[in-house]
Amino acid sequence: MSAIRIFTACKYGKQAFRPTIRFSSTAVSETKDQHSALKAEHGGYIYVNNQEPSMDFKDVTDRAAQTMFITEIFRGLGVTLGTIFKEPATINYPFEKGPLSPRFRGEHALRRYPSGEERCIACKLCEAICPAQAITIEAEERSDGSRRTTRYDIDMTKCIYCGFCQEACPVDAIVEGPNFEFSTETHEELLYNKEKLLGNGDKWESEIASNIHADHLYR
Amino acid sequence: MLKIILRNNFSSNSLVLVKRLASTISKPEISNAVYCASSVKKFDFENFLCTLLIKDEASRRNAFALRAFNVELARIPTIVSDNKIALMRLKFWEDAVTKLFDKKCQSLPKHPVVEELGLVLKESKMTKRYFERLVNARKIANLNFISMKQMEQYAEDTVSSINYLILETLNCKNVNADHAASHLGKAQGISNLLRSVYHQKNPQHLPIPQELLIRHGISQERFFRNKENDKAVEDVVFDIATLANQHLEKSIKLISKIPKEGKMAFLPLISTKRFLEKLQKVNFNLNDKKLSRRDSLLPLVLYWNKIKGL
Repeated sequence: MSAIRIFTACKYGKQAFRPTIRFSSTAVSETKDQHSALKAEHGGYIYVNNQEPSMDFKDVTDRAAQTMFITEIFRGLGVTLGTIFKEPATINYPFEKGPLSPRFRGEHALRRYPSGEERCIACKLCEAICPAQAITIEAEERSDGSRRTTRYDIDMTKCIYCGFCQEACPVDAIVEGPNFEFSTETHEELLYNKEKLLGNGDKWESEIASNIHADHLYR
Repeated sequence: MLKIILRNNFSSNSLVLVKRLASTISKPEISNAVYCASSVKKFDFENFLCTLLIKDEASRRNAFALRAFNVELARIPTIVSDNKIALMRLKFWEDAVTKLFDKKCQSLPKHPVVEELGLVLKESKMTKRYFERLVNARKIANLNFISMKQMEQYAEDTVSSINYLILETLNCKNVNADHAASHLGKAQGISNLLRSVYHQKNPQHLPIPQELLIRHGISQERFFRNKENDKAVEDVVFDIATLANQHLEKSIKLISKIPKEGKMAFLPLISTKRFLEKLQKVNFNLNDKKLSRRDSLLPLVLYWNKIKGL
């Protein structure tokens, strides 16, 4: 047992004395000399460790005032008060709508000309370009010789809203309007047929017809 | 009747008006004419004003049909996100032109502009080549021209072709008129490209010839950086505006030699001239607010020039 005690004393005793050994006057003067030598060699060095805060009475009170000062609290209260009188950033959603980009791609619609004639000429370009293959078109000739669709279906659950159909349409018939609130309870309701799409077009025409006017052509 | 419709079409709520008129008149051709005029008004207002001043009713209607055709084509690259889709739409118009000039073809595509053009071609003889040039010129994927010549060629194809066609509707067959129309088209096309620098849908498509950028030692990036008082950028704009102005002056010189019936096709001279003067006033800074403002005096100036006889 005593042998062990001597062993631990040797082990930790060395550590306990080490600081005094290091910072003994001779050691300090030695290191200082080393530092000054370095300083001369490199043209000065920068002390990168944390500086000990000064413990003067004046400095201590200044610090305490900085953290505890009552104006900070009032400033915080001021911000709160200012926000009370500001317009709220939130909107009363189902009754108030947020702004939408004119390029927003929402629910599809089939447009008509101002004369009431439907625009679609059954060229099937939208069907061809649709990457999700959500559009199905069947067409036949009318008695007046014009080609019109007899069936124009869009599976809204397949659609990825890429907007290629409206880009490809040479007569601007199929468009993705600004409506984004068309959720339904059943899957079947999202399989749109021509009547539904034309109805959408009539309902949203004023929003779809953009009011952008240009003085000159851009190309 | 058409005259009344077009005059009324000036009012702000034109859509409602057109709807009402179309329902009361119930003649499909009239509503087609209204469609053409209102689409030109909406997308090409300055040329709408110029076309409105053509005195002869039939020629005016024909000119609107031609301009509406150009509007449809010019809008395509600004709508699509991919050049392949643009080619698809242009194919439709290419087919439409082929069908319009095919005597045997019975069923034209049901598009108001195509139907209106069908009527135009029934009445007067027109050159198919100009229509084809209009379509083909739009097939390029972007407006990154290499040389000034390419830019001039693009302006010639897209704007001068329309000027030639309008001269044909006015029954003006004259070498000087064609020559002046070519120069006017180039001036108009180049100044339109200048005006559209900061309005391109894809900002990567800078319609400034690379040759010119190299000569001034600047990159396209400098245009996008859009700094104030960037001298080099202003110099490039100045060079292009000078080119447009040269064409404009050549066209103005030829005006006196043009027969009277063809003069109304040259009203766009005034709008282009006014734009270039405005550009000079703002020191060729394309970003100036004054340039994006609509020229409110233009209708009066155009009318005065019409009375004066250009």
